[in-house]
Amino acid sequence: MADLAHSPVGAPKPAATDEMVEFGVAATSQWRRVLRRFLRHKLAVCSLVVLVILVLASFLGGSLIAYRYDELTKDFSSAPSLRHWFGTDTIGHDTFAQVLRGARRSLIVALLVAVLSTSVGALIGVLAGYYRGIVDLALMRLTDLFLTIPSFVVLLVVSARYRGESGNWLALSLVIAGFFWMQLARVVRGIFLSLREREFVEAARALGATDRRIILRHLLPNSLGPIIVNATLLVGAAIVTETALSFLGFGIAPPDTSLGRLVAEGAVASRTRWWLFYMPGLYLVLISLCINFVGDGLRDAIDPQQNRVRA
Amino acid sequence: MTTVPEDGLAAMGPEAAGTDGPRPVLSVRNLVKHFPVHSGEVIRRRVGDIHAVCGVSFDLFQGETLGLVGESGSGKSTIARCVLRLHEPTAGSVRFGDIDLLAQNRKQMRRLRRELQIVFQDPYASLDPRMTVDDIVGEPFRIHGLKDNVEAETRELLRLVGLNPEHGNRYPHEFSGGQRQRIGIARALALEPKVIVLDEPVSALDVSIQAGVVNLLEDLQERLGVAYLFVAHDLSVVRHICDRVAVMYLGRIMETGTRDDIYKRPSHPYTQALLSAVPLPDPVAERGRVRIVLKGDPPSTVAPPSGCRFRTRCWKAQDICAEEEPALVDRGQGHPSACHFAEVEEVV
Repeated sequence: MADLAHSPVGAPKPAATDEMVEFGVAATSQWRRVLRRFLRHKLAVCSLVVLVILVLASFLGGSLIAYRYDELTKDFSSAPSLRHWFGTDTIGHDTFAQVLRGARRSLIVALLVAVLSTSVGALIGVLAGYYRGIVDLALMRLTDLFLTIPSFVVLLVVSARYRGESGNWLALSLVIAGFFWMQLARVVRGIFLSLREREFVEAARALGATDRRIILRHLLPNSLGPIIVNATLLVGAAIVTETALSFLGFGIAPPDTSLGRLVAEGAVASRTRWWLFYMPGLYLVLISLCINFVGDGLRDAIDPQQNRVRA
Repeated sequence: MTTVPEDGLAAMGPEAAGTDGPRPVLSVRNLVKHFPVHSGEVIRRRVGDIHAVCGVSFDLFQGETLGLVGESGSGKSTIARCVLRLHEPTAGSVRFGDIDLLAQNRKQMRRLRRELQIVFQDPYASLDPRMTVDDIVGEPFRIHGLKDNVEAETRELLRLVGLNPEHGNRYPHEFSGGQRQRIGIARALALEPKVIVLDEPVSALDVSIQAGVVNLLEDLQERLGVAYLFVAHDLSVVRHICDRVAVMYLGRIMETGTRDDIYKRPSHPYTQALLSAVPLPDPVAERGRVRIVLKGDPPSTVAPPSGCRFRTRCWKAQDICAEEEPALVDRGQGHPSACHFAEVEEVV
C-alpha cells in the first residue's frame, strides 16, 4: 500500500499533463468542456445509463433469455413470474422476449426518423435562413406544401402498400421522416434569420470567413439547443406514430413486432391481463423519457451560459 | 485660400491638401449608399430609398485617426460598413492604397480583409457566445490559414490588450464590457491590419471604462502605426483621440478639418450647435455659456431637404440654402465647411 505512491504507476503522470498542455487542441478541449458540463447534469447522466441499458437489452437481450420472441411456450396468459418476467399472452408468447424484440424495432425506426428528419429539416432551414431571397421562398413554399399534405393518410397508403412485407420498417421510417422535418426547418430558418444579423456574424465576415465557416462555426453551434430539443421530441413522436400505425394494423408486420403493436394488442386485455399492456407501455415511456432527459442535458451542456445544474 | 482637391468634397490631409503629401492608406470618394424601402407584405413594392450616405469623400493616412461624428442616422456607421464592404455601396469608390476595393471579387476581398478590420459598438453582440476567447482571438489566423503557433499568438494578443492570457479558455459572458471590448480589439489586431474601423467602440461602455479602452487604442496606434477611422457621437472622446474630424449630418459631411479647426474654430452652424451641447466640467462655465438649441428633429432620410440638408433647423437659413447645396470648401475660415454663411465662432 505504502509504496503505491512511489510506484512507477504514478511516475508518467506529470509527463502526461505536460503533453496535454503542449498538444492541447482547441476543438477537443471544447468538447471536453461540454462533456464535463454534461456529466454534472445528474438526471441526464442517469437517463443515459438507463437508456444504454435499455438499448443493450433490446439488441442483445433476445439471445440471453430463455425464450425467443416467436416461440410458443406452454404457459398461456400467465401473470409475471420468475419464469416469465413480463408474463405471457393467450397463445404463450413470452412478453419479455416480445418487448425486447419490439423495442429493437421501435428504437431503430425512431432513431432513423430522428436522424433523417433532423438532418433534412436543419439543412433546409439553414439554406433558407442564411441565403434568404429566392432560396428561402422556394424552400419555405416546399415546406408549406408538405405541411398541408395530411401526413397520416399518406402514411396509411404507403404502409398499406408494404403491408405484411418483412422489410417494411425501412419504408415506414422513411415515410415518417418525410413528414417530420418541416417544423425543424421552420425553427432553424427563424433562428438563422435572426442570428445572421448579429454583430458576431458581421465580425466573422469582416475577418474574411467563408459562408461555410460562418454557418458551421458560428450559426449552427448557436442554434444547437432548439435542434437537439426538437430531435429528442421527434424520437418520442416517431415512436408514437409507429405505435398509432401499428395500432391500426398498418405498422410493423408480424411475426416481427414493435412496442406499438404490443401496446395495441395488449390494450384489449388491459383490464384482465394488465401485463400485456403495461409492460410494453412502461418500456416505451421509459425510453422516451430517457431520450428527452438526455436531450435536455445535452442542450444545457452545449450552452456555455447555462451554469445552472439540475439534480 | 486653399482649395480642396478633386471633387471639392475631400477632407483635407494632415498636411495642406492639394500638395503632394503622403499618399492616403484609405481614400473614399463620393460614397453613396441607399437602402431600399419596401411596402406591403405579400406583394413587395419598392416605395423609396433611405439616403443613408450621399456623396462622402475623405482620406485616411497611415498612423492617424480620423473621427466621423454626427447624430444617430447621419450615416456614420453605414460609411464604416461600406468601407469594409459589409454593405455594398450604391456608388462611389473606396481605395485601399492602390487597390480599388469595390472592384474586388468575393475571394480577393476575403484576402484583403487582413488589412482592414473593424471593432464593433456592442461588445456583447460582437463576440460569438459559444466560442472561448482563445477561439475568438485565434479565428482570424485560422480563417487565413496561418495555423502554426496560433496559441502563442493568441496569448500575446491578449497580453497586448491588457488581458490575462490564462483566461483564454473562458467564454465572453464571463467578462465585463470593457474586457469584452478588449477581446474585440485583440481580434481586430490579430492580422496586423493597416486600417481599423472603430464603430463607436466605447459608447456602450461606462465612462470609467471608456478611458482605459481609449488609452489602449492610442497606445496600440503608437506602437503599430495603424490608422483608425473612428466613428462616434461622443465629441469629447473624439477630441481626445482624433487627429482630424469630419462632422456628418444626414449622410453628408458638413465640416471637416483638424481637431483644433473643428473644436476651436467651428464655422458650420451644425458643428457649433453640436459643440454647444458638450457638457463642460467647470460648473460655472457650464452655467454661463450659451447653448444653441436646434428646433425639431432631423428630417426624413427618405426625402432629404433640397439644397443644404441642415437648412430646416438652421437659424442662418436664407433662400439660397434651399436652392443651392453649399459645397464643402474653404470660405476663408481655414478649413472646408459646407455652409453658404460659414463663419468661425468659438463655442466651447
